[in-house]
Amino acid sequence: MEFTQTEFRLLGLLVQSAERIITREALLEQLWDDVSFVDDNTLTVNVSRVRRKLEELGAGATIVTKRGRGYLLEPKDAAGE
Amino acid sequence: MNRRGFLVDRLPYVLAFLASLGLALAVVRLEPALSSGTPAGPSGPTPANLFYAGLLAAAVLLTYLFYDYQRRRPFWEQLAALRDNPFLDAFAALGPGATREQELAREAIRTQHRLYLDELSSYRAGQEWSSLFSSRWAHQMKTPLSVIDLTLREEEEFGRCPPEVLASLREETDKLDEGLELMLSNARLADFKADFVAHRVDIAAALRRVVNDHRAAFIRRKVYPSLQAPPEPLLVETDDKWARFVFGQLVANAIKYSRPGAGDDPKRVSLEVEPYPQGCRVRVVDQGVGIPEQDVARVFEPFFTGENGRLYPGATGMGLYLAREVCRRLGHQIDLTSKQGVGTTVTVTFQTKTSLHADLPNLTKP
Repeated sequence: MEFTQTEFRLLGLLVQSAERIITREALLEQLWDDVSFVDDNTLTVNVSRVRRKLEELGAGATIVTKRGRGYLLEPKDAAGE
Repeated sequence: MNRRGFLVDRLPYVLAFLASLGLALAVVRLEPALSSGTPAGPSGPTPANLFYAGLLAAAVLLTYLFYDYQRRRPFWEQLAALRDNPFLDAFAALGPGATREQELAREAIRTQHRLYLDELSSYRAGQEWSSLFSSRWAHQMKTPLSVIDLTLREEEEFGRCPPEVLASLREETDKLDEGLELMLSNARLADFKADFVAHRVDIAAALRRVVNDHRAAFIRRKVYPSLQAPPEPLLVETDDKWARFVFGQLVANAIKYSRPGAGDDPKRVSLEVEPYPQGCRVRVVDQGVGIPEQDVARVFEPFFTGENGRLYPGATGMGLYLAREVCRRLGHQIDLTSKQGVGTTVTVTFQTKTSLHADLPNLTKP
């Protein structure tokens, strides 16, 4: 299983803000690449890739989308909330 | 100048008159001796002697005129030089006048010049004070602003304040920050010469920095940048800081007037670098609201906000004016085209110095 650089940074940010919602804006700002600028679609794509990879790995946590607010890394059992 | 002065000025003239009168009288008086043999007629001097007297008088007049011309000429020449001199203080070099009239004129100019300088220096001091004051003030206002900014950041991370409220507060502090920056730039523009270093700048790298400086605004407005530049670095002759100021204004405008992208169709601001034989063009293209046709011609005027200014209260009418001023001083050309509802394109044209040399062979051709 390989993570691209952007995916890895994204995962890192989600882990850091553990169990707190992190806004799309905050993620975009952190992921902003000096060479190729990250846009909204790129973020969406990366979030779903990371989510899929976490599932494939059988990780104990998943990325939950909070509509209009952002993303949250939650332990799997609480994900049904 | 009183009557005596007037007469003193005319003294050489009076002397010349007396000399020619004396000479003419002497001719008449010496008539018998001059026309030896020929007795003087009862009717007076002979025509030849009359002519001689006239000739003497004319010689005296010519001598006087020559003398007077030589005497007055230096002052006129200096006045003529002064008239064509573009420098304010050239007057100081004006030497003393030869006549009282000339001296009077010189003193009158000197008095006026001094009064003018006094007035000018008091204005200059006032101007310096107010520009110093406004730049200090702008700097000081930045401190509370950055405290607010930090508080907001903390609140975003740990607080309970709803994100919408934080976002709108953040938007307002950004506007304040932009306004203060504009004020500082305006103050700096006043002493542009002291703050200007020309060197070769990689334009694509400079633009990338501008885009990164505005990343927060891009993200918040859901507008995304794209930079299209040739892969090899393109060097242009400019001042790095001022060029970034110009593009900063253009990018900030492009973001501000882009309608927020809806869902799958985010708005873009593209920066296109296009080299051409004599330099390169940079286009800042937005897909924003555009500028009404009747306003396009006036967008570079100071404080002009036009129709969009009424719709978007953030408009200061200074951004494009300052951008054009800086471009003018850097020797770049700036043009704007816009179509309402479609978008605006601002083009900055850099002329590379090599174009001057490239022209040289053509000049030597017949």
